[in-house]
Amino acid sequence: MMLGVVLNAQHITELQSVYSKSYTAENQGNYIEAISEMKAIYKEEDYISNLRLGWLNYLAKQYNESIPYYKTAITLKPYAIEARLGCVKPLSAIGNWEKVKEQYLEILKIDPLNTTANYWLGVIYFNRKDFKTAINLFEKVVNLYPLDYDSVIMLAWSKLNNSNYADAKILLQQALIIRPNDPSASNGMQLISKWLEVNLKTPVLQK
Amino acid sequence: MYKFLVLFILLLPLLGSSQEKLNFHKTDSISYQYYLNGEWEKLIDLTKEAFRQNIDSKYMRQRAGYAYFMSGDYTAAGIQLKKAYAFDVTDEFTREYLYYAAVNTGGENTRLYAQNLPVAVLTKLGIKPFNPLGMIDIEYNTKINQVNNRSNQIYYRFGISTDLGFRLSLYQAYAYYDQIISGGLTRQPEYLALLKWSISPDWHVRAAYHRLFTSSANVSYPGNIGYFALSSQVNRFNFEVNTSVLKTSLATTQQTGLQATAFLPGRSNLYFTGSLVGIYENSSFRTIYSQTVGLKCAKNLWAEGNITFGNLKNYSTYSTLYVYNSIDPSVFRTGLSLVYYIGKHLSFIGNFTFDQQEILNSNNNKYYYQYSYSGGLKWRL
Repeated sequence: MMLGVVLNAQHITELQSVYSKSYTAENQGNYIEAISEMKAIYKEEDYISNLRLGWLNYLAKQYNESIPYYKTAITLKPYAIEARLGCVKPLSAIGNWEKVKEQYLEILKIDPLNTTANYWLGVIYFNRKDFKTAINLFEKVVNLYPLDYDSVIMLAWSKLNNSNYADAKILLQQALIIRPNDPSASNGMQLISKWLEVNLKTPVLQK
Repeated sequence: MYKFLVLFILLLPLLGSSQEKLNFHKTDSISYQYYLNGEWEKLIDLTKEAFRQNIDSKYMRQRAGYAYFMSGDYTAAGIQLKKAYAFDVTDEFTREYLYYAAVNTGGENTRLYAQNLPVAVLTKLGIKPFNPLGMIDIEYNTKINQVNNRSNQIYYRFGISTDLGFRLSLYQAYAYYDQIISGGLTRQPEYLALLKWSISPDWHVRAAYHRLFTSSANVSYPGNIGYFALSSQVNRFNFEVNTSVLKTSLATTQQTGLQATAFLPGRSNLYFTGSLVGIYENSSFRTIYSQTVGLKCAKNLWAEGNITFGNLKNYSTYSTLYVYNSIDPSVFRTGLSLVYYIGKHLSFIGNFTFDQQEILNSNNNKYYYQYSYSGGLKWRL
């Protein structure tokens, strides 16, 4: 019994030492060295080492090596959001936006108000010109963080592109309060002014 | 001698690692440079090695696809672009070149890919979801033989294809055939309706109804054919399973076929198609094997050769477009077709076919030879 406890304690000390060496190598930018440290103790059923190897391979720009480690971590802990958020990084780097979208949707199933997932999924839909879906996602973030500039400006531009000028104007004004003279918000305000100018000049035909 | 052997063994690892170990950053950067410089062969070699080493990205697939496209290997271009599409279904570059690759391979998924084109490109190319006259084709054929009691044959066809959407199209054709056999005129006006449905870019369904208004010496022997086929495209292979039933007042013929096509790499776009057909008729079963080889000979010229073994009585091919129900069945056939593309919309098709026919009810000359010449035009609107 005692021997077992001693062996376990020894193992934990060894693990701490390996992790410590790996962190040092990472901080020095020696990602390949950090990876080889981790590989020495790697176990497929260990969530932490999979997550760490996913991260280190991502830092080493070995994106196609990074993804399988993250996927293993996700299989080991399906409700762990950090593994899914980690996996999104190498997937984005290789331009696999379908899988990125899939991961964010999975995160929102677990945590519907997750700020990161709502924001970045909103950006994906915005880039795909699906402004209605983008609005739904950005609104969740803005409701939670009304002073978060990035979410406010994205919601403003989504509304503007969706021809919802009244809401867009309020949001752009809010963005200008958070960041006075912000070029993006100012551009948006100019577009709205032009739109109003054109539409107010257009005569309304009477029957 | 022993020294050389030791030296060779020492150098062996170097020979083995002649393919450099690549990394993502370097491959991405070099492949982009090759792309900008238009160095297609280098780009193809680099990306091939990168994918082998599990280095992959949407951009590398797009560049590889474009390099194959510019080299004229449209099948390979389509394969790479499909992989890029799986990474990002909204990428407009991928969508556009997937369509162009499909156009150049004559793929059944062409219209389906057109659906994904940006509106500006659709307008520029004049592609509409509904097009009552998507394609018109005409064919004229004459078959010559040296048998006394068999006249030469005449066959002609006029067809139109209607695009009912991006997934669905309807091809309708009217055809006519006649021949004087032992003094009596055999005529056969025909009507064909062929429905093509693309379930996905890789899965396609075809269903057809073909009516034969056959008459011989003023006695009518009408026939009806029902046809169904399912085909799938997997990288460089096409697989198809098809079945049809021909019912006439004289017999019922059931036909089932398996077909596989392999597209070889390279700018000649060489392909081989093997087709095995089983025919069940009058309580007897027979098989027919057909082999086709096709390639792009020149910029606008394609050639296709084929050879068919077996008794072709009541055999139908090309989704029942051609029904071989002549009184004298063909027992061996070989032929050559040439397709010349005159511009973007018009193509001319010429064909020569040699048939060995088995003559009906003759004790002396059991077989005779038949030489067939065809010419046709296909106009895509």
